[in-house]
Order: sequence, then structure tokens, then C-alpha cells
Amino acid sequence: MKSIDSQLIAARPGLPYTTQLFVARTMDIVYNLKPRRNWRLSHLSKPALIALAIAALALISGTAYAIYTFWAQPAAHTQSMQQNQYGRTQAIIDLHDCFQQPGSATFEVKKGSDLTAQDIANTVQAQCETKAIESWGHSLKPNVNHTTEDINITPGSELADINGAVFTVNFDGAGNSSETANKDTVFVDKGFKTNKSAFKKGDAVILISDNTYGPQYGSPLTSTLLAVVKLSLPAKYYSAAMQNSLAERTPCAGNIADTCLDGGASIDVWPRGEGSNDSAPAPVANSLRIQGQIVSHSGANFVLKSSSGALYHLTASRDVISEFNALYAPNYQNATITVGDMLDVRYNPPATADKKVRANQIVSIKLLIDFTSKQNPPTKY
Amino acid sequence: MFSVESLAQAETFCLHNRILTMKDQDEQTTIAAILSGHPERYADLVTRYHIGLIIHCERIVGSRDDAEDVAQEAFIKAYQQLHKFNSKQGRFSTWLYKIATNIALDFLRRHKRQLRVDNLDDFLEATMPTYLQDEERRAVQKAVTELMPPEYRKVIEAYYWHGKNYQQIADELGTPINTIRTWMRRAKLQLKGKLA
Repeated sequence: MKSIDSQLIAARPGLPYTTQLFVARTMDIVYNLKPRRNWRLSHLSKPALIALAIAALALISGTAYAIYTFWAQPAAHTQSMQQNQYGRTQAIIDLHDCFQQPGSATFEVKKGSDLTAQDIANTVQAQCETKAIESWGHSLKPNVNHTTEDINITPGSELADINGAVFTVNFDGAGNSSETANKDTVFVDKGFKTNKSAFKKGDAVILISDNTYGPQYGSPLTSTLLAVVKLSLPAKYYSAAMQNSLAERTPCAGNIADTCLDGGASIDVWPRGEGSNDSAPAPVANSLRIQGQIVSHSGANFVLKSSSGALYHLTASRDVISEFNALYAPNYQNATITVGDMLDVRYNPPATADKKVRANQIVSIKLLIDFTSKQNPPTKY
Repeated sequence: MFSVESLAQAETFCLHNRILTMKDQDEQTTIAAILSGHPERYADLVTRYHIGLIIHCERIVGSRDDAEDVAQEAFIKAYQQLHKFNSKQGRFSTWLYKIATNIALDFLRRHKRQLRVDNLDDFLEATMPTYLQDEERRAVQKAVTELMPPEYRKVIEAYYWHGKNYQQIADELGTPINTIRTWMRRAKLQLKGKLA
């Protein structure tokens, strides 16, 4: 029998204006995801498959260790560090075998963080390594039936205890969780196959498990430890605190002469989502993005100076900055928006040579803040 | 006379109505389009399922903020694994909800919290996705509009259809949150009688 809750959810009429913000935020992440490689071979021609088989045979009969290398171990080195125009430490990092990343990337250090050049490189390397392991972890059981099972991959955590076959890990002091190794559990040390004796308390590890579920989803019926992976760096580099200390600067979507901070935290200026009557257009696939400091603000108009020094002239549907200051800033420790503050604006095409953005193009306006944790009051970027 | 904005809003409204009444076959077409290089089409699926999914996650993790995080993680995970989704084994929504349930239960474990319910399966089932025929949809919508007093209708619409949480509804109606809970309970009892 259908519950009242599920009937009400299923009977929802078309009411687009209330929760577009969640959709926009989720799609923002989707657009920024790197495409996942699909290693199915069915699309390859017969000669290509034969060539691949020959290459595999050559590999097996060649260097002994090659067949045990599950992924290329990434490395990151800080090439240079400098202060950028926003007074932040910015580092160019050379990347080697970083999961699907180009040879170098620019990272900005959050205000108040005292990461050294080595810390920055290590934190980036930890990101690359985690992505490589996650990809490998999912390949251990590529045909998982998601209605009855799922691959669970812990974040990089500290090995709190080994008791017989039981591995107990602790992530960021958030409590312990345990998994039990079996005869098929694979032990890996920095990409190479090893054995259980290579692990000791205090190591940084990732546990990969195969969880199965009953027809009615609930706690896993079984959890099979597929792999215990020893990481290349101390656990602190995989922690949320370290990972949140860095944000990558990448070319802004549609405005590649400028850079935008990825993965930074922000407060919604417009639309305000639930409870407001704001009606923003949905972002289209080729929507643009710009970040910049406010250099002037008058009514619905404001001008942003981007990282390249270009000026973007934006017109909102109304004076959303003053409205935010009056109505919503009190909710954020009076984080009122003034000239000099950094805004992030996503908008739909067209892009014009004079860098003017009209009200009906604007998808969202956000005030950039420095993220520390949900519990702390926001600090403007 | 229509303004440009109101026409655009009307078009958006129609688009969202189409998404919310999407049939299974349309959903397969959408998924095929996403997999063939049109990630923007994923917004159709997020639009269609996010309010229900957030409500489902909120029942498990107990807070709207955490539920939104969990639901978002589920949408991202589903997107990344979309090439593995097999429609012959079930509906996309069932698959998505199971991913979200798993993340939500993991969230509770990580935070050393427990669900205090008599029967976990029954508890989770209450907000799992269901499918209504057009006639059934209309019957539910009609039953909601007929709720008395009108405040009952407002809380049901705000929570289930507009995606608002109890605190937001309380703020909007200028009513204590506990009153909102009471109205919600009574409204659902009335609906149970009407839809039985």
C-alpha cells in the first residue's frame, strides 16, 4: 500500500520556482566533474582487441612488478608560490600522474592557513591519490548491481588499530569504524600489492568494501572487505581540514582569460531559494561564470573586477545587494556586501564583447566566503 | 498583455510540468542523452526527484541541512555511475533512492547516531518513490485542496511540493513550529481518510 508521504511526493504539481537553487547547485557540480573513463572494450575493432591482447601478454611476461601496479602513484611538487592580487598565497603545483589532471594546476590557500609549500604539494597529491584509488576501487567489482549492493570507499583515514583480521580506522577524529579482512582481501601499498604485515597502527589507509543489501534497503546485510590500501602520506593530508584549506583556480567557464575559485564556499545573494519569489533562469549547458571584486554598486547595477582586471557590468532584476544586506545579512553575522567584496556570478549566454550581463541572463549571484566549518560564522573572502 | 518575463516563466512552468510528469520511456531517453554527452539533461532528473529525495533523507538523518548534503551526494554519485544503471533491473528513482539511503545510513554511522525505529524497512519504505496514474495524481491534488482548515493545505503544499522545511513554514505562517507539526499530523490523517 502506498503511504501518504509517497503519494504526496508523487502528486507534486509543476512548481518550478521554489527549489531551483538545489538543482542549480547540483548541476554546478555535475558540470565541473571530469568525464569518467569507461573501460569497456566492446567498441574496439577486432584488430585493436588483438593488439591489446598482445600488449597485455608482453606486459605479463616482462617486468615482474608491472602486473601488481594497480594505479600510477601520483606526485605533486610546488613549483612556485606567490601572493596574488587578493592577498592570498597562490601556488603553482607540478602534477605527475595525477588522476586525469593536466601537468600543472594553480591552487589558492585559504586566508589564515599557514600551509608550507610542502604541505600544499602533499595535500594536492593526497587529492590525486584518493581519486585514483576510488577509480580502482570501483573497478574491483565493475558490475555491481546497485539495487542490492554498493562499493563503499572510506576517506583517507588513520589506522587506529589492527586486531587480528579486524582493521579499525578513524577519519578526522569522527569516530572509529571497523572492517574484517578475509582470504580474498587485497592489501596494497602505494599502488603495489603487498600483505597484511606491511600495515601498522598510525598508517594512513583507505578501506574498500562490498556491501550487500536486502530487497528492502537498510543497513548492509554483509560487508566484505575487498581491499586495504596504504597511502603515501600521513593521514592529516587526507583530512577535511587540509583539503578545505586549498581551492583550485581554474579558467572561469566561458571566460577563460579569468580564473575562478573551484570548490570555495559562498552565501546565496540571489536567488534566495525557499521562501522567496525569485525566479532565476535554469543554467544552460554552456552557461558562463565570472568571479570578481565589486568596484561599484548602484541600485540593480554593479561592476565586478575579475582576476585579469577586466570589468564586468552586471544588471540584476532589482537591487539584490541592498536587499541582501537588509534582509539576509543578519543571518550571517551581518556579512553585508560592500565594494571590495568578491562575488561569483553564473549567467547564461550571450557573452558580449563589452562584458555586459543583463538581468534575464543571471542564474545566480553568490558572495564568496572562506569556509572553515558549518559551525563557524562565515568570514567574507 | 504578456511581458517577456511572464512568458519565460510560463515556458519554464510548462517545462517543469513536463519533467514532473515524465514517463519511464522519456526518462530512458533522458538517460541516453546524458550518457551520449549531454550532462545538462541531468537537470531534468534532479528537478524531478530532489524534493522527494530530500524528504526521504531528512527522515533518516534528522536535519534538513544534512539531508540536502546527502541528497546532493547521491545525485552526484548516481551521475558518475549512470553508465552502470540498468533500467531492466528497476526504475532510476529506485536506484537513486537506494544510493541515497546508503549514503544517509553511512552518514549516521560516521556521526555515531542511530535511527530509533521499530522496523527500519517499513520506516524507509514510507518515503520511497511511488508512481501514480494521472487520475490518482489528480485525486491526491484535489484532496489536498479540500483540506480544512486551509492552514492544513498550506503546510502540506509547502513541505511536500515546495520543498520547505518546518522552520521555514513556521516563519512564513508566523506560527510556532510545534503547531506546524500538529497541523501536518492532522492534515495527513484527513488525507488518509479521503484517499483510503
